[in-house]
Formats: sequence, C-alpha cells, structure tokens
Amino acid sequence: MNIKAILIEDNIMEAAVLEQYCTNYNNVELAATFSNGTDAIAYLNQHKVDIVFLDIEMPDMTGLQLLDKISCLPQIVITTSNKEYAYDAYEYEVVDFLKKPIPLARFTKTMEKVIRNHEMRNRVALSSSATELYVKTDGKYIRVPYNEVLYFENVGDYIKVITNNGMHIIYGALKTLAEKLSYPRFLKVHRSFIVNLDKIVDIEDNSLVIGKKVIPISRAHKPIIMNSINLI
Amino acid sequence: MNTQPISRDDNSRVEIPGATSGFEFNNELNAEFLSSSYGENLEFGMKMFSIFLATIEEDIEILTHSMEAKDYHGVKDIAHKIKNNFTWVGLPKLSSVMYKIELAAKEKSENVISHYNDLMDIFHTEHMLVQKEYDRLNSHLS
Repeated sequence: MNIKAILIEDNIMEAAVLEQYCTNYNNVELAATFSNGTDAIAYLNQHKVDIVFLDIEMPDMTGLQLLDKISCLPQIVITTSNKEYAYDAYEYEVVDFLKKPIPLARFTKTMEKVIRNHEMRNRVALSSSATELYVKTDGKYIRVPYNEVLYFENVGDYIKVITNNGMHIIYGALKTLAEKLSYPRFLKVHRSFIVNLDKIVDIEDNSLVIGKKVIPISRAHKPIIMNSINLI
Repeated sequence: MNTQPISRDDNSRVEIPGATSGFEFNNELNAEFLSSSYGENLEFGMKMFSIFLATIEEDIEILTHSMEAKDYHGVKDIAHKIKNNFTWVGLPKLSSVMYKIELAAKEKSENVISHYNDLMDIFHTEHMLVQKEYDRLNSHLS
C-alpha cells in the first residue's frame, strides 16, 4: 500500500525537515515539494495524491485559499507557526495540525493517524462502473444504478447509500467512495455527504434538499457545488 | 538507564544519553535540541546547518531593506518565514526575537526597530557560532 504525498512549504529548512521525516516511511512516497500554492494547485488538478502537508502562510496565497481552489480533498496536514488558523482549518476537515518547528515524535503521531485513515478508506466494500455500483450487504452484492441514488451519508465507519427504493449500509470512508464513483453527477458537498446533483430539489444558503432530507453544504464545498449547477 | 538531567551550566559540550553519533554539540547553542534532532543522523544536521548558512545572510539583507523602507508587510513576511530557521541550528533566542519582529511589524508598531536592533546586536556572533559548529560537524563526518 503506497501513500503518495506532496509538500507545500516555502521555507527551505522546514521543507528539508519534513522530507527527512518522510524517509522514515517505506510506504510513503513524497512525490513533489512546492514552494508556492499556484504550482501545487496545477499539480493537484492533474495527479491523484493521498496526503498534502500544507503550509498556511505562503507568498501567493494562504493554505486555506488553496483548499478552496482544489476540487478533490486528499488528507490534509496543516503545518504552521501560528495557532490562530486552527479553527478555520478544521472547517476543511484537516487530519492534523502541526506547529513548527515540528518535532519528529509529533510528526510520527500524525503519520499513524494518516496511515490508519488511508487503510480504512481503502477497505470500502464497493465496486463501481460508469452507470451503476454494487454494494455488499448481508453477503450479497446488490446492483444499484447511479440514477437511483439520492445521496451517500457517512456515519462513523459506515456509509448509508440512500436510493429511491430504500437504504443500504456499507463499510468504508466517504473519501474512498468519492474516488471510486465515476458518475460526474455525484458531488461531495460536506464531509459527511455526497449527493446526486440530479436529485436536488433546492439549494439555500448552506444547505440543500433532496426528497425531504436537508443536507448541509460545507464552506469549502460551496464554491464547487455552485460551479456544478446550471445557475441562470 | 542514565536518568541524570542534562547540565547546561557551563560552556562545555553536551551529548544526549541514547544518541549514538559520538558527536557532542556545543553548549553555547541549544545542544539538547540539536542532539535530539540530529544525534542519530548527523548528515541531516549538517544539511540543515548548511542550508541555514547558505540562506540566512540574504534573508537578513531582505529584512534590513524592508526595515529601511519601513515596509512593515515585507518585514512581517520575511520574519515569519525565517524565524524557525534559528531554532533548527540551536538559536532559539533569535527565533524569539524574530517572532517579536513579526508581531510588531504586523501591528505596525515602532517597537519593531528596537527588536530589529536586538537581533542585529547578536546576529553576527551567533552566525559565527553556527559556522564553527558546521565546520566541526564537517570534520567529524569526514
């Protein structure tokens, strides 16, 4: 199981520290290091990455502004000297928050969490094709056409698959599910929800309605959803 | 197991129990931090010292130019960017001064001048200490 990471850090010494720490993990490949947000966004839009070590204060943009500009959120580990960003960072479902200068012991603790998350996300018992997915429930694989799915909801270590005809529960993480779904009308709108855009009844402020369910839209995902609908 | 605390009372050199390199960092620097960070990987320590020495003078020059131009934003940015670099070469006191410069510049406070002067009063002496430690590391490893 290889974990692909990138590092976004404009301080060469701090970058050297994290690069060195990553060499302690045989299964972690540090694919690239960027000293600014613009180059990192270009890379993230073309490559699948599992972890981003993200500095908050960079010359061209803040780390949080960068998160607003990428459509798929990998596991994010924030690195910063200032704790003042912690609250905002948690809005983006970051995995951890490392205060610089980062001691190896603290980094090790973060990596344990990252690796655990990665393993769990890969355990999703689900396969998918362009028009349908199969969910494994009670030892059976049940075919669910994409156009019957209303939304997916993360509940602890499980995901509820809500369809026109009822509900299935599968084991796994929403992020892994999002990566496996090939249907362009599915969109993550919150850390706990992926919705079928074709089933939305209305959108208001920071929520949307599907059937009778009111689903929250997180601040990080609001711009993405507004770009995905045919707004007149 | 050695449970004796590490003494920093004098200018002798400190080796942290458990470190395997056989190299003792100069106690005029934060030897405890340096040993715990690099004691088992002196090549990495040398790399960090080397990056510091290759970049710090230019960074201080940028800081000085920003100070002269009363460019508070520029002062804040460069102070923020390099403040932890001093910690990584065993100079936490300069990291603290740099943090004070960053905060004062952020608030556009005149205190930034006295903090900058505090920095410059000791920078060259501390820089020479780092250079000497790098030379010692280099000779130990070669």
